[in-house]
Amino acid sequence: MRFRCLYTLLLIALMLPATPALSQSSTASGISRAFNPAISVNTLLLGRLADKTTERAYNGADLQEAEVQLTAMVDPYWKANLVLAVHPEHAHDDEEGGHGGYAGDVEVATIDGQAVPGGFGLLVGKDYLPFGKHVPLHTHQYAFVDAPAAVVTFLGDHGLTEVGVRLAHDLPLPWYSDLTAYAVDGKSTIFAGESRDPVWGARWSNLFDLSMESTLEIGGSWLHGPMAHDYLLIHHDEDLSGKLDVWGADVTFKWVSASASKGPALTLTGELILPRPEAGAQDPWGWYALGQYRFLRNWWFGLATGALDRGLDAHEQAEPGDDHHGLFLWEKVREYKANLTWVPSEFSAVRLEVARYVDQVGDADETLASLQVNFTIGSHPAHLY
Amino acid sequence: MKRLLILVVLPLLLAADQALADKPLQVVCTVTDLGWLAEQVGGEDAEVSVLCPGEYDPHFLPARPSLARRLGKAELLCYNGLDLEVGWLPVLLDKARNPKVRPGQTGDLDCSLALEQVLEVPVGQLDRSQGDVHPEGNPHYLLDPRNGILVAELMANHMGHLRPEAADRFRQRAAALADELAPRILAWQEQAVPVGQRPLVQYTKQWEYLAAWLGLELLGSVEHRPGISPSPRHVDAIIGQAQQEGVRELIAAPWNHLDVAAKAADRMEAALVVLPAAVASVPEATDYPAMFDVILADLVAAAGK
Repeated sequence: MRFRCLYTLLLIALMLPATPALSQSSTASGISRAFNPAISVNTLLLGRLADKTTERAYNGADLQEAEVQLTAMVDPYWKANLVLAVHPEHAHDDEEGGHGGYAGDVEVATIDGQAVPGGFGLLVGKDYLPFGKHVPLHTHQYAFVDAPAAVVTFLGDHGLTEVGVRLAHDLPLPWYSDLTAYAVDGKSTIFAGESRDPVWGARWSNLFDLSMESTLEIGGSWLHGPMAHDYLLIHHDEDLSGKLDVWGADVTFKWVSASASKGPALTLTGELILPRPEAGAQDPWGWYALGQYRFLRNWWFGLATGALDRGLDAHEQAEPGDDHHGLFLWEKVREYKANLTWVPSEFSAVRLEVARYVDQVGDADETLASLQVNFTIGSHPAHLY
Repeated sequence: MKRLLILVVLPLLLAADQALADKPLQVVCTVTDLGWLAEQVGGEDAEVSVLCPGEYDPHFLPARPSLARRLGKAELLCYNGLDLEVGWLPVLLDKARNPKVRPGQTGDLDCSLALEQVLEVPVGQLDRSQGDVHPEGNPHYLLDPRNGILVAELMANHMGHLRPEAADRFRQRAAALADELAPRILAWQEQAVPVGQRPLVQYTKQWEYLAAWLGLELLGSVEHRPGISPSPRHVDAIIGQAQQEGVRELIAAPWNHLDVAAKAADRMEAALVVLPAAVASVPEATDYPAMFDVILADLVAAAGK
C-alpha cells in the first residue's frame, strides 16, 4: 500500500516537468517562469503525551502531515489545483503493523471552470466533499489537532476526498444562499469502493450578515451512496450491504472586530451528523461544538466538545478491554478539548492542546496532551471564509 | 416567414441592446477611496459598491461569501493592486463565479496601473523574514491625492470602453474632479509646511506616499516588519532614535494596534496622531477630499502643540 502510494507520487512528480515540455515551449526552454504554478508546502509537526499507548495516542513526536500544493491557470477555461500529502502510515494499513514509515496521497487534483455561464461553479476532479463544516478542511486548517470524533467515526479517518464532478449556484434569495450538488466515485472507507453506483450528495449553505463584523451561517448536507461492508461495525464479523445516507446540519457564528488588524475575533461552530445506513447500526448520531477566540493579536484560545453513539445492537457492542488502536472505535464517547495557539504570522502557528475522550460504554478513556507546530512556505492560496 | 421573423426578432434584439446600454454600469471597488473616485467618475451612469468598509484594515478583510455575491453581479472590478487585497480578493473572485471580472478580462481594473511611480519596490533578496512585504511595491498610493486624479482618469477610460455611449461623460467627470482637487492639493501642501519641520515616526509602513507628496521625513516604523509584532529591541532602538531626532508625533492608522503605538509614543515623549488611512476609516473622513482635510488638520494641530 505504502509503496503504491509513493510510486503514484513519484509518477506525478516525474510528469510535472514533462507536461509543460509538451505544451508550453517557453516554460520548458527556461525563457520564462511566469507560467509556473504557485507552489506552497505546509507542514505539521506533532508531539504527544498520552495516558496509554495506541497508534494515535502515542508518546513522542512525529510528522503529522506535509502538504505540497500547486495552483495555476490551465488556460482561459480552467484553474487547476493539486495537493499532494505525506503522513504517517496508519497501523491498519500496514501488514506488519506499527508505524514505521510515511505514505503519500493525492488529496486534491481538480480543475475549476473559469468561464462557466449563468453563474454556475463547476469543479471536476478529486477534492474533499462539501459536507458540513469540517470535512472540507485540510489538516492544517483544523481548529484542534484532531478532527471531531463524530466526523472521523461517521465520515472516515482518511478524509472524504473523492473523484467526481460538482456543480454549484447561488440561489436567488435575499441572503447568500449557495447550493452545491455532486456525483463522485466513492472510494473512501465509508463506501463500498468496488460498487459501480456513484455517491450523490448536496450541500445548502445560507449566510446572513448580522452586522458589518458578524455573520451567521446555517447549512445542511446530505450524501447517498453504496455503504462499506463494515460501516460503523467494531468487530467486523458481519458483511453489510446496502445504501448509506448521511444527513448533516451545521451552524456557525463569526465575529471579527474591525477595531484593529488581527483584532479580537470569535468563531462558534456546531455540527450534527446523522448517518442512516440501510443495515447494521440503528439511528447513530453524533455532534460537536467548538469555539475559538482571538484575545490578543497573535493568540487564540479554543474549547470544543462532542459526542457520538454508533447505535449498535448488543451483538456488535463494544466490550471492556476492546483494543481501540486509537482509531476512534468507541461505541459511545464524549470528547472535551482545550487549546492555546500562538500565531506569530499567517505562515506559522504553535498550538498546545489537551484532549480527553470519555468512553461511555467500556473503560477505554483517553487523555492526550499535544504540541503542534504548523508552518507554510511558498505561495499558499488564501483560505475560504 | 423570414421577413416576419426579422420584423419580430430584430426589434427585440435592439431593445435588449438599448436596455443594457441604459442600465448603469455595475462597478465594484475593493476599498472606499476607490469607491468614492468611481462614484465621481461614474455619476448617474454607474452604480458603485465597495467590498471593504473603511473601518477595516484592507489587508485583512474577512472574505464573507456575501461579498462574493456582490462581485458576481459586477461588470467592472476596480481594485487597489500591488497585492493589497491578496489575502481575500482571489477567494472572493473564485466564489463569485463571474467571468467578466476575472483577471485579464474586460471588467478587471488594477488601479495601480495608473501610477507614474510605485514607491518602495523591493530590490535584492525577498523572503518572509521581512514580514508581509509587498513584492510589487508599497500599495498605499491613494494617500497621495495626485494619484487619486490619475486613478480617476484610468477609471474613466475603462468605464468608457465598457459603456461607449457614456464615454464622454466619464471623461468629463474625471476632468472636473481633477480641476476640483488641483487647488485643494496646493492648499494641503501649504498647510503641511510646518509639519515638515521635524521628522515623524509611523506605527507601520503606511504613510510613504503621503510623506513623499508633502515633503515629510519619516524616521522609521515601530512595526518595522509589516504584519509582524515589533521586537522589544527594535522598539527600544526606534524610541532612542526618535528622542535623539526630536520627534514629536507618531502617526498611525485607526486599525493599527493603538495600545502598542500609544506606549511607544509615550516613551518617545511624542503625541500619538491617529490619521484616517481610508475614506470612512474615521467618521469625519466622509469622502476622499475630507480625508485629506482631516489628515492635514490633525498633523498641523499636533505640530503646533
